[in-house]
Parts: sequence; C-alpha cells; structure tokens
Amino acid sequence: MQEEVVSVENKTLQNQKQTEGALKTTNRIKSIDRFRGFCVFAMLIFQFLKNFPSLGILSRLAEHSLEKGIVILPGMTLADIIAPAFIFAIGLTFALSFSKWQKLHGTKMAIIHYLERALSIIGLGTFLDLCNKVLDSFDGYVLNAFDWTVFAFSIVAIIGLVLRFLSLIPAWKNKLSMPAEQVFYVALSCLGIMNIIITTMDFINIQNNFNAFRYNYWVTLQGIGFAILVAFPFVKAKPWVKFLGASLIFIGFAVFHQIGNNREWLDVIVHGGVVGGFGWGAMLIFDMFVADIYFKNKAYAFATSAFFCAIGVFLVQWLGTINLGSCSPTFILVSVGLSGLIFFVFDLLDRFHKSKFDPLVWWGKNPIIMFLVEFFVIGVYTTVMPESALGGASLWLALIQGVLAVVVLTLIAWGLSKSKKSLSL
Amino acid sequence: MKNKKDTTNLNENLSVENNKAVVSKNSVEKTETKKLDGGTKVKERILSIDRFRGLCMFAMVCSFIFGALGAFSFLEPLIGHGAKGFQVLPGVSFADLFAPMFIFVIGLTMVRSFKSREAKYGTRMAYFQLATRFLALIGIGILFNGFENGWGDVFTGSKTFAELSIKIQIFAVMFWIAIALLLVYIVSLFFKNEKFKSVSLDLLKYFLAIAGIMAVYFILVSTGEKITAPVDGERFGGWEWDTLQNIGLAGLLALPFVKYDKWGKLTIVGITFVVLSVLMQNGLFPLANKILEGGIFGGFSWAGIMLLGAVFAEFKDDKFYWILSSILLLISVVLIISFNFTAAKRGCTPVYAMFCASISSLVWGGLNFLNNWKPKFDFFAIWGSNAILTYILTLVFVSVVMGGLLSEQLATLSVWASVGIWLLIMALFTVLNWLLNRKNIHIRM
Repeated sequence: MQEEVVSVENKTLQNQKQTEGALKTTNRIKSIDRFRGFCVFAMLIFQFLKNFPSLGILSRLAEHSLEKGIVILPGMTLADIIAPAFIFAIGLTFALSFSKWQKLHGTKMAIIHYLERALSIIGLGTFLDLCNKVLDSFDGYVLNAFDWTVFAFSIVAIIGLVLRFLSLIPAWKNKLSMPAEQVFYVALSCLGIMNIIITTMDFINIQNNFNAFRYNYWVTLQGIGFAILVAFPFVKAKPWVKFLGASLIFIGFAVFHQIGNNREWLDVIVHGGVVGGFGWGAMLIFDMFVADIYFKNKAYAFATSAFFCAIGVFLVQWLGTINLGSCSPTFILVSVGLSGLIFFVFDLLDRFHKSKFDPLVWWGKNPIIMFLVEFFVIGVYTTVMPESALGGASLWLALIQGVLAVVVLTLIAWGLSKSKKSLSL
Repeated sequence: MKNKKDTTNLNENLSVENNKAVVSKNSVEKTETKKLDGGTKVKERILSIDRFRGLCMFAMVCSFIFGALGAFSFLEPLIGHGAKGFQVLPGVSFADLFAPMFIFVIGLTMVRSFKSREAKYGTRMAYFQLATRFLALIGIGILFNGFENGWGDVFTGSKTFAELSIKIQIFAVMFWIAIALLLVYIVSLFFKNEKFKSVSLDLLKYFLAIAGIMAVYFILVSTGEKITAPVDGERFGGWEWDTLQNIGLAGLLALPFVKYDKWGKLTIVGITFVVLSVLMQNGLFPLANKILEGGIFGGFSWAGIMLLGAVFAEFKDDKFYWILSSILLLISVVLIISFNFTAAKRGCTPVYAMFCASISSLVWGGLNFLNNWKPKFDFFAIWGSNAILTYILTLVFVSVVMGGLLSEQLATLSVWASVGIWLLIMALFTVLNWLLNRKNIHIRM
C-alpha cells in the first residue's frame, strides 16, 4: 500500500516535471507569441484604419476586395493572409497545449475541454454577430426566431461570465468556479452547435436558390472554431498521419470546390461557411504538420512552408485564383506556406530581440480579450463618432486617431499581460 | 585519427565491385579520389548523379524516338516543346524540363571534375582543359550541323554545295576532317605507341575546339548583326545553334566561377538572373527567342543552371539544400504566375532557368535518398554512365536516320511496329551502356 502511494507520488512528480518541461518549451519560443500578437494587432488595428480613407495605403491594409485591397498574389490581398496566419499560430501550439492539459487533467478532460473550447469560439462569434444584429434592429432589422434563440443562450452565457467574475472573490471561489465555468462553456457551445446547423442550412438553401433567405451567422471566429473541430482528431497524431489526413480532407474539399457552381455558392457565406470550414480544417492540420517539423528542424519547416506556397501558386493555373471567400484549394496551400514564411521571419528576428519591451508578445497573450475589446470599444467608438471624424477625417486627424488606437490597445494588452489576466476559452 | 575516421566512413559508404567503387552518402568534397587500406586508389561515384543523368538521357532518347514515329503522335503533349507540349507553367512544357536537368547534372560534377584536374595538373591547366572540353562540345555540335544542314541537303538533292552558306560549307568540310581525325585516333588505340595515341587524340580534341571557337565567333557576330543590322545588308554571322553548342557555351560561361565557393556562385547567379530578367522583360526576349535555347543570351541562363547544379552539389548534405530549392521554386512560380514574367526554353529566360533548377534539385534530392539502394542492375545509373556517347549515337541514328532519312516511312508505321522499334532501340542502348559500364569504360570529353 505504501509502495503504491510512493508510486503514485512519483508519477505525479514525473507528470509535474513533464508539464514544467512543456511549459518551459512553450515559454522559450517567444517568436510564437510575437507572431500571434502580430496577427491580432493586424486584425484589429488594420480594421480600425480602414475607417480613414485619407490614410491612403494604410486604410487599404484590411481590404479583402481585389479592387480596393493590396493584391499580393492572383486573387489574394494582403488582408487575406491575416486569418490563416492566426490559424497557423494556433497550429504551432495546439499539440503542445493539448499535451499540457492532458498531463494536468487526463485525456478525457482534455478532449472535453478542447471540444468545448472550439465550440465556444464558434459560440462567441455567434454572440458577436447577434450584437451586430441587435444594433441593426434599431435601424429596422427584424430579429427572427433564430436570433431570439441565440439571444436567449447569449443571456445564459453572460450569466456564466458574470458568475466567473464573481468566482474571483476568494470566499466564493470553491463553490462558484466550476459551475460558472460550465454554464459559460455550455451556453457558448450550444450557440456554436446551433450555428453549425443553421449555417449548413444556409448553404443548402443557397444551392437550391441563390437568392434564398440566409441567417448569416458565420464570420472569422466561427471559421477558426470549426477548423479546430476538424483538426482536433489529429492533435496527437504523428506528422505523417497529419499530412495524410490533411491531404485527404484537402483533396475531398478541393474536388467539391471545383465541381459545378460550388465555388460561387461557397463564396456567398463568409469563409465558405461550414463546408468551407473543412478547407480551413485541412489548413490547420497542415499547419500542425509544419509545426511538428519546426520543433524538429527549423530549416526543413521553412522549406516545407515555401513548397506549400509555391505549389499553391503553381496550382492557380488549373484550380483557379487564391480565393479567401470560398476557401479555394489554392488559398489553403498558399495560406499554409505564406503563414509559415511570415512566422519564420519572426523566428529569424527572435535572435536579435534582447529587449524586455515586447509589445507584440503582450498582444499575443490575450487574443480573445483583445478581440472583444476591439469589438466593443472600437466598435462603439466608430459608431458614436461623426462621419467627419472618420471617413471625412483629414490625414492628421486620422493619424492621431490611429496612433491613439495603437497606444490605448497596446496599453490594455500590456496591462493584461502584466497582471497575468487572461480569458481562456 | 582523421585517417581512421575517413577509412571508417569510406568502408561504410563504399562498395567495391570489379575494381569500381560506388559512393553513397559522402559530400562532394569527400568524393574525390581516396586511398583504401591497401593503397589502391578508387574514384568514388555518387549514384544519384549517374541515375539522374541516366534519367535525362532516357527521357531524351524516348522523346527523339517518339518524335520520329508517327504512331506516337498522341504523345505530342509529353514530347512537344514550348506551346506544343503540356504546359507545366505558362510557356514551359513538360518536355522543356529535361534539357535543363541535363545541364544541372553537368553542374553537379563540374566542381569535382575541376578539382581533380587541378590536383593533377594545376589550376591553369584545369581551366584550360575544361575550356577545351566545352569548346570541343560546341565543335561537335556545329560539325553535326554542318553535316545535317549541309550534307543533309546536298545528299537529298534539295541544295547543291555551292548553294550552302559559306559558314555551313566550312563546317560541312570540317565535319569530314573531324571524322578522319576520329578514325586516326581509333586506329591509334590498336597500337602500343602512347605518343601516337596522345598526338592523335590532341589533334582531334583541338580541332573540335577550333570548330567550337569558330561557332562562338559566328554566333556572336550574328547576334551583333541582329541587334544592329548592317547598312549594306551583308551578313557575316552564322545562326546555327543546337543543344551541344548550348551545353558547351553554358560550361564556358560558368567556368570562370568554378573556384568560387557556393555563396560566391550563388551571388553570381543571382546578379546574372536579376540583370537578365530586367533585360528579358524589357525587349531582349524576342531576340533571344529567335534562336534555339536563346543563343548567346540564353547561354547566361543555362550557365546559371549549371552553376546552381554546382551549388546544390556543395549543399548536398546541408539543411540549406531544401531551403534553396524551395526558395527558387517559390520565386520562379510567383514571378511566372503572379507577375507574368516570360518563361520559355527557347530564349531561356531566367525565371525558366530558376524553375528548372529547382525542379532538378527536387529530383536529385529525391534520388539522394536512394543512394544506399544498390541493385545489381541499376537501370538509370547504367544509362547515365556514358551520356555523351548515347547522345551522339542518338543524334546520328535516331535524329538523322530516323527523323531525317526514314522520316516518311516511319511516319506511317503501325503502332505495334513502332512499339517494337522503340523497344529495340531502347534495348540496344541499354545493352551498349551496360556492356561499357561493366567493362568500366566511360567515354568522356
């Protein structure tokens, strides 16, 4: 009996050591944090600068349309690479992060946590979409039955969030922490599941009638969440299994994408909707494959990224342009490759970065909070401000607002990073 | 200690069979002549290079035969050049990939060849020998042109000798002199007089090199005349240019940089490609496109491919190999697809050269993984062991006889008869190469 206890203690100690080791590994790679921070910064700040046409090229950074955006490859603008780059950042740490959870809480809990996390990301996106629809309702948009259902679940999620804040009070922590977390997660997960169903219905409706009514509940966060769901079964797989799995999903999706009018239909819903999500999923698995190579040999990972990018551009001849909207096969390959190449620029610069002043790391530590801050703070700001201060702003006024947004958001990121506060989904 | 390590490494990587050593996993620097324990000197061969060369030769011979037999016209997309073939990239057909691959393979062995000559005869002599070798290659090419475009027309009655241009007349006459010198050299092989052998070989070699110099002179003059047309309309240049001349010119242009280290070579190639790209995109291409492989202008790009081959050979076991390979592929594909840079074999634009070099590096990189696999009958290695002989025989029998003299009869041949002829020729080439390889006879320039 005593031996058993010792053995269990040893195992726990071993697990702790392994976890510490994994944590150390994650902590050491600052370039991943910086890269993630860059993605979040680009997503939020570029989006804000889009409001000021007087800024010229800076206002076009977040443009996805080929007419207004900065075209870098056939069919692809500079803005199109930001979301895949964020997915790449997820792919870099997905397996490490899962292993950490697995060691701390066991496989079953880790699986539940990550499935909930993926669904919650979709749920959060759904909630943000609802907020927009509620705002639109003041301008005459009539909320439908699904909107009200989302509304109801959102209230439950907000209650869960409030309870989570209350659980920070030391006296309530033990009693409230777990149920608050579950209320929050389950409500958001339900939103996620409902969204997957409704967006699938949207796609079926489009196939039957191009101008049919759509619920329109799919944007970037939903795409990211669904990609995590698709990639999840491969999180612990060996690199060649990941590559094979991603290739199979990619080929299946590519065939579907190229048949009939599917490309146009996929283009209607943001990022291709649920069906396009399989393409994003394949992208994430390819990213995880590159990450596996990266942790073994950086040079080979760089070469693999460049090959992905080259093959993607090469296939433009036969598979069509690099189209974010429908998540075209060429977009998937180019995104994996280009994101990898951008990451390696950060990785190369890592050796020159000795200063503690590291704003991109602050940005990268709390992507979800930063996303919410941007949505509510910047969103409210742009709604409240008169048009003369935004679209009609002169260059100097636009520059002041742009710099202020960068400074304020960076200060928030720094504050969150310093106080070690984070919202983990 | 170092010797011991070398010997161990050597024992691991060498398989000595019939006095022939084969190398698998050594870097190019290590693949020069080494001493075994018994003091026997062995020259190690990198199997992947032989295999790659063999693959190129096999593809080339097949394309010649398929082109000559009418029944194989359905394979036109595979063997057609430029717009006629299957487009791998806009302007680049599948068949366009093999000639650069062959040049790339020459680049793979170029540094090694130079170093071994340098060790034996000194630097100046090594340069001289290689320059002579490349000039002789151009000479062989131009003399074949003299036969094909001169005597070919005379024999078929389409022209009289007097109607041939003065340049063709010169090369047509020189062709027979070269044949006579070749016969003298073959006769010398049956005598035990080393001096006779050496003098007859030198005569042949330098005669071919002189023909090469003349060919380069005529193409240079002709290129100048294309840029600035003479006022009186009289032309002095010659526009005859073919694959062998192209290989020779590429070698000549690459030769001055053979002693540079890999980064030096890479810098030279980079600068050349940038300058040439600017020129090609701004009016040079139509001129380069007028002549096979781009003539003098294209020669710079072909030399770039050769130097890249040398660079990749030096990076063989380095992790940078795949980085360089992927970067070349990415840059070339993006420039061609996204920025509409002109890619063409005829004219040999730098983006085409870059693309082909990257594809070649991928193929060679793949073949390197098989270096430890040594079957008794190594098909492609056998085909690659006597490339120059295979090429000349192909030119004579397949291109001139099948594609020229018997072209009308072969165009109407049935499929089965055509398949039979193809198999027979391939079998003959295989047996010939196998026999020469078995006897350890490697015919080189």
